[in-house]
Amino acid sequence: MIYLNPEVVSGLGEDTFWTWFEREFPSASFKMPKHLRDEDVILQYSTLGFANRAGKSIGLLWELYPEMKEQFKSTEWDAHLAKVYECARFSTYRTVTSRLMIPFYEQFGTVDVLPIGVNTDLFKPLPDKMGLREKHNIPKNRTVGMWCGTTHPMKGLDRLLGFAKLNPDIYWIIVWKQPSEAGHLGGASNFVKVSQETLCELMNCADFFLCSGTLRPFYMVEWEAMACNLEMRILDNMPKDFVPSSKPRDDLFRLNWDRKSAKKLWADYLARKGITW
Amino acid sequence: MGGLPREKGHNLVSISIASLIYKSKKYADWVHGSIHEFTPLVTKGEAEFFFVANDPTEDLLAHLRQRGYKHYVNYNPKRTDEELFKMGYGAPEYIHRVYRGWNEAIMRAAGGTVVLVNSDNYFSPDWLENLLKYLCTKTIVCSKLVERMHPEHGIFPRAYHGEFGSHPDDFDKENFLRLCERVKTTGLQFGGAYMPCAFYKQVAIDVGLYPEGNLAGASFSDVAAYGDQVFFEKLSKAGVRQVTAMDSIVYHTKEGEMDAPNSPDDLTSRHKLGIDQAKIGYPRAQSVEPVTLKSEGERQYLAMRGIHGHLVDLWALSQRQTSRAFSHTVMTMKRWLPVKLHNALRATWYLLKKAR
Repeated sequence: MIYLNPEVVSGLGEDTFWTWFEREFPSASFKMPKHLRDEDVILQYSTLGFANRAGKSIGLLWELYPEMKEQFKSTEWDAHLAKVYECARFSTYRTVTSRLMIPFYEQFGTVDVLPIGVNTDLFKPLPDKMGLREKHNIPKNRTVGMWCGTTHPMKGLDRLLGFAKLNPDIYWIIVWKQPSEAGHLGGASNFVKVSQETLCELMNCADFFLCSGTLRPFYMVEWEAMACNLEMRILDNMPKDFVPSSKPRDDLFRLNWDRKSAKKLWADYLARKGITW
Repeated sequence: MGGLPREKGHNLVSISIASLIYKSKKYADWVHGSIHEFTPLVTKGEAEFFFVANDPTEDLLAHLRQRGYKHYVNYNPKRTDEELFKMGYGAPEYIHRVYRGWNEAIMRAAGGTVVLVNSDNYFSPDWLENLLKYLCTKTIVCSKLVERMHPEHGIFPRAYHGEFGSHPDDFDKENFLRLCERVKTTGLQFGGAYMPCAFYKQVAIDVGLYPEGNLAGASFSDVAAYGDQVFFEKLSKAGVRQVTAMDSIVYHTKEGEMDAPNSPDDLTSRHKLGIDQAKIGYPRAQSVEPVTLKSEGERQYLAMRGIHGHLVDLWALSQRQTSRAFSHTVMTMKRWLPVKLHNALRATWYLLKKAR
């Protein structure tokens, strides 16, 4: 059995790692057991701390709090970090999604890199870019940049504003994640909390995606933009997991971030740990 | 992370890992290589590894020097059986020197945390991190052993069984590491093998270290208690409990420094096995259940319950069932008997109970 212990299964009603994993692995369950057998495992989301079950557990150390603490020199996230480190310390295994996060956790033991997986059947290049621009009221004769995020400093809204000011010819598609975290960019098409299908269409309206975030690992939405084969522009040549090529969708497949490959990697990983499902 | 900058004069070592060695160059290379491969804290300089060359051969000493292995040389006084008996120690004589070696290792440790390992141990990923995560002033944390079926000594009852060789030359590293990956599980068992073990240096000093031999009974050959058993009992009396970290997995060839027949290490293994096998075996990982050990801070630990825990459960269950059955009888009587008769019976019951 694989027991899934997420903080949020699907905040926006989207198909997340959790909903996908439960679907793909027949015995996966969100119901936490009282006891674990040798062949069972808990996938524990890091912000929940320690699973407190004797047996096998895999800490999913996906949150970027350690990176945020280092970048912003702040103690704001220390309570979350304490939980995350507790999870890292007491989990049987530790996984991150980016090799850049390994140094934060290797004090607790071996850290493995495993992808979350992007739905490349949903996020993909679509035909008729002009038709899509018409549908979403995006100018057909302008260079269109895309940015997704929140007003949180880690997303680099200030850097977006600076870049937009320096490049007034660019028209912007801005997608805010939640109404509570939404800002507004004047002269741009602002969207709030769109469906994954709409997000894909908007990505296919754009000519490039701007990575202005201040943290090094790629955000999920950036992986989704890559799956749409959207050109990735990384501000200030910030060091990232890798430098996307002119065909980022190919990069994604090469790095096994598509769901089919991700499933195989997860299945092999779990099998080596003696887990059955 | 963090800590003092690496400048000359700063001692960053907080953990000291030590092994005794007598004469085997092969085992010295084996344990040294294994420690360095699977202990990143040593590479980072936060932990040190050293040998206590305990009454070593000249050949071994030359080898340690030539390889640049950190070591301390410990020559022990040669005492007769009579002298040892007068000191309160029993047979065998060599074990006096073994425990002196371990005490030397503890005292030589630069770090506040000491980890003692045998030279016939081979380590696996995270073995040290998973010892340290359970370590506090109330615990001495030991590794979970994987052992082969020894033709003479068998297998330690609480060890995992794995046939990965009897000597560095025939060690099957690949399959050992594969097994570790499969059986590693988060949790603790109470008790277990005595080594490898991690403890605070000051705690060991406070309880008086290892006795310098087995404790003698009526005569030198009459052993009242084994040295490591005494050390662990002293810790236990001081409130320091022995636990085994089930995610710290270490292979044990059970041969000691085999190319030296009747070497102290080899004999130590044998006498340890005798003690260990006498203990009651613990169930395996599938019956592990979380418990909280009282210790400093908010840290929680996992532990496997021993048989006593299951007996307590059975007793509680039978009590609940008895109580339920009794309640059921009372309710039935109340329903069917006339009120006066029911009240009279109840009054009699309480009188009897009170009288008892």
